[in-house]
Amino acid sequence: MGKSALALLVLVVGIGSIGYYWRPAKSAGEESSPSESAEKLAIARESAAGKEAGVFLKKAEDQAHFSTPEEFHVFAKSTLQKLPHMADFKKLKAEDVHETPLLIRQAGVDLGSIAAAVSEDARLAPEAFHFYEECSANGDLPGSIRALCYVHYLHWGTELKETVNAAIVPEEIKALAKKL
Amino acid sequence: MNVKLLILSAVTSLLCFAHAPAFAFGAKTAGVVVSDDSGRFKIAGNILSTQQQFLQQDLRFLQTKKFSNPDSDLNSLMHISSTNGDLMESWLADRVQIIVGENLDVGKSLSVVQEGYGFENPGVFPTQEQPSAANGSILDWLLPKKDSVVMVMQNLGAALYMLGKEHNALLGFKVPNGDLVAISSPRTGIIQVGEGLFQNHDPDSKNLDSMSNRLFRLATFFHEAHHSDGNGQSLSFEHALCPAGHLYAGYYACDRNLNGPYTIGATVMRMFASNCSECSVKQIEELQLDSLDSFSRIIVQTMNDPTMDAEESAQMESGECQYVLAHPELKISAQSVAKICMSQDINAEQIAKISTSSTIWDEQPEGSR
Repeated sequence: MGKSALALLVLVVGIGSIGYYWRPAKSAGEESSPSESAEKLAIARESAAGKEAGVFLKKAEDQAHFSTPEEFHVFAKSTLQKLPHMADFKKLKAEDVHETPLLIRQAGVDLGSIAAAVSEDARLAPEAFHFYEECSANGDLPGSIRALCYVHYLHWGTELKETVNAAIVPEEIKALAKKL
Repeated sequence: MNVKLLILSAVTSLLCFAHAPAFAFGAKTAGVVVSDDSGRFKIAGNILSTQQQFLQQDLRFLQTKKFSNPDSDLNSLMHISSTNGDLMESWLADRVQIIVGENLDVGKSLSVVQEGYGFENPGVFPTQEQPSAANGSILDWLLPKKDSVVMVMQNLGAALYMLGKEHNALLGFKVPNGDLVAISSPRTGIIQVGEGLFQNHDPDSKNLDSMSNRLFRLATFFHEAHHSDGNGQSLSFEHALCPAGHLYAGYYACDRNLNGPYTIGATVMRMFASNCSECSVKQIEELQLDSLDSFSRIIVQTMNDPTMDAEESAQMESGECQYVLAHPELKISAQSVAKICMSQDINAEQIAKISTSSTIWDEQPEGSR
């Protein structure tokens, strides 16, 4: 390897691990770049249940109100199905993962809709409790998502005086949840 | 080839990839450097005026913010007496001095001030972990296709300090207003920002001036600023390869210490989330998840032997607990081992025998600015 190539390699390696910080590009008039689209495709693993709940999805994004707990049940179910799985992250590129990937940020929005809804309407709490239980227990979901769900699971378990099953999450998730 | 040519050639070759697509609005005032309100940060004129405004507003917000819910971990990490914006801004200002735009020709801005410079800890550099071929090369990260990604932020000063030290040459960086800054420490604090920083970080908001977008930008600053710290092996707090089994396995997207950039970023974001009275419940949830994502990148245990071949890797992925336990050389994090072995009994003592706990790294910077 020549000296200049070596110098380039040194620089490349040196900068690389101290945070050369890229994110997917957006071009004018486009909602998302090609690499963001790949993420969104994964996000769009929205099932038939998600489509069914479309009206509620819109409602939740706008104002997080549900007329009945049943409406919220359908919404929560579709949200659970939308959350990204560990396998979805294998499609990401290096430049997508230095900062929080869009998949996680979108999950934050989706979990935010649940949290907002239940904070405005206490009647939804029992359904939210079950949502958070399922989310916490789902080993296909990233640890950060499970940990956030576990925090809410514990909270609503206490509020509702429901029995909480701590065995549904491994110690690493509990440790992560304690960070909040 | 002499050192100067060697370095300039390398820098020019690499950094031409950092150019992002043209921005749609805002004007640049080339050569002019403006200060933020505090006068502690210099913002180069090659940053678009709209972006300069965001930076100034973000820093102003930080300077004047009083946080009612203190975070003792953050105070400890930053060595500050209380959680308030003024002290946090001082921490930032110790590590960030000049903010330049992405379209700066770094090669043309560099010069060799002194060959044969006496760096601290000569010849001592962080141990570079090698990426696994299965997960792509670091070059994929560093040399992304120009039209597919944009720069968010990088700690250019720390990278150039490392480069100078590698070549035993003190480098100089010409600021757009003509001043020459000697890169005598990773604390020189030259931060390069790009269009990505000023894109929407909140999928639920179109408003770049929203509080959650502001907090995302600031947390990014704190993360990158921490790369200005460290010496010898801890120099610039390099990221580690995330271990097998991790969500970001194979990428330089983790920290193998307890006080690295991800810890700082995660803790800052947690504190922001707990103090954001302007944020909706939904936005707080987003901030908390962002914080947890960063916390999940802190590797607390590392297996003792780093060797791993393809066969072992394949077997590891099969999730066989006994195999993993019998092969500590696989260097799987304790969390991953625990996960693989979740259905079986594995205790802390077993993990301790085959792994090393991450520690607090020395953050004292080399040199001085």
